[in-house]
Amino acid sequence: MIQLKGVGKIFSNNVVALSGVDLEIKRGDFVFLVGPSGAGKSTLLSLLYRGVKPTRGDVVVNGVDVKTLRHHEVCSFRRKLGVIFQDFKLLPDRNVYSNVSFALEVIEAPPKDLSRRVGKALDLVGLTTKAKARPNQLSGGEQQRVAIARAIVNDPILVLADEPTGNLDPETSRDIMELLSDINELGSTVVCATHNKSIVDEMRRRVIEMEHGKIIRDERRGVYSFEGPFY
Amino acid sequence: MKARSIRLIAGQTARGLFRNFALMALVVVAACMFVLGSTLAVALNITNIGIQLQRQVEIKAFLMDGLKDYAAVGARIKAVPGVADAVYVSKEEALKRMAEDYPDYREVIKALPDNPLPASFDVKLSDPKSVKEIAGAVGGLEGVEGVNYGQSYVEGLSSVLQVLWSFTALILVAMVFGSSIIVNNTIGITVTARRNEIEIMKLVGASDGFIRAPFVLEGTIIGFVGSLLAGAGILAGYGYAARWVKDMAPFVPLVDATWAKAGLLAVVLALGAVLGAGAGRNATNRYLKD
Repeated sequence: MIQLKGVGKIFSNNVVALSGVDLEIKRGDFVFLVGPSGAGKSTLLSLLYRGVKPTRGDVVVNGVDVKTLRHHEVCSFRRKLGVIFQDFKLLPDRNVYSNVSFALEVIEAPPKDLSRRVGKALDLVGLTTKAKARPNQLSGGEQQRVAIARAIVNDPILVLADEPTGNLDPETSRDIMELLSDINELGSTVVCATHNKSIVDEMRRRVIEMEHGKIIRDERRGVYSFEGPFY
Repeated sequence: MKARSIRLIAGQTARGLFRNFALMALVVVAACMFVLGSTLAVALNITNIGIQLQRQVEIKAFLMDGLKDYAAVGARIKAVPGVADAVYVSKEEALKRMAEDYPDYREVIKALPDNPLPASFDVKLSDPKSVKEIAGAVGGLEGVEGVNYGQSYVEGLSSVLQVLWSFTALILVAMVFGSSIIVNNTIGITVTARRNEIEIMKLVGASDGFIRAPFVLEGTIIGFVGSLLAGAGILAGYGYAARWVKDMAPFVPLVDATWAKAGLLAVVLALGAVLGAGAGRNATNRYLKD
């Protein structure tokens, strides 16, 4: 699903965000990206949805060489992905249903499928009863669920989550992670950057630890803090 | 584009238009277009004054004394390119005009033993800018003794108008440039306020055209409505200024025709809409780059 070979990213202000990153993630994997702030987790995720281009190396996602992707090809590439952020990124003047359906409307999905697909996504995240609520009428956890519903409404093959529980309390964070786990079980590959130690330790999924733009640990069933030999 | 997509774009545009930033942009665009339109109105009138003054330029072609077939000379003059008309002025008519123009010398003129004035043609021009060349051509015709076209007045007027037009054109270009920067920045703020929306659309895979469309439409509407407000102000102010000039300096030929005012309004509206659309496009493009 994802192959990175010798990937480096240097921003225009000469900040080295990634250096010599080699990585392979298989279809159906659930991967935690951990590490201190500034380790390169968000940049790595951004490379995967072509938010930024690598300075060097190859990034291949679902057989697509992200580096050579032309500008007009990026939109169709992203339609196969779902992206979730810490700050939810919801449209405040639209209700829950509309925030989710927006993702289908802007890609001109067939109108006849719209309500069925949005209904399915809202059902999965448990927000069917709040379809008409505005984001400011929802709790943080519910807002993140809306963002997740929007990310999965298009049945993505890959879900990228950048600190999805960063603004949430421990219990809600656990619910959100369980939701991501359910999405993974339904077939989507999930890559999740997080600082949430207890959840990573509890879920025991593949853990990739980063520091100073490099991968320093990759464990198949890892924990947040290093506790065994390298994978 | 599908009907549903058009509805979505229209909805996005409407949402954008009912925000505080859009109102601010509307006011700024209206103010900008008012200044630009007013400058355009001044430029229009300077041009009109110049054209009117040039239209008054004509050539006097004096005929050889004793010439009988003045009609043939008249036909030759009319055949010269750039000549609109040639009106025959007989020796008697010339003397009569002189007496009218100089009433104090009427008795002296009456006392003249012979009429010393030659017969002539008043030559009106279709291309006043080429007066020098036309005068040369007319002067060389058989039966024409000489020509007079107020050479120093015409050349002085031409150079003054040239400077005035160049200056007006420069001011207009500067105004259009300045307005486009202000409109660009102001509409840019409305787009920046909605960058979250753009980011979401990008993330879910909307095409650039789809993302851009509501912002371009919004910019066009802000530009058009702002220009409409400015246009109403310009026309009201123009009517007032025209009446004032008519009272104070009736000899100044102001453009007061309906077509001119309609043309001015059309230019301001079109310019506002184009600047608005361009600003919407430019501002959105900043967020669509790789």
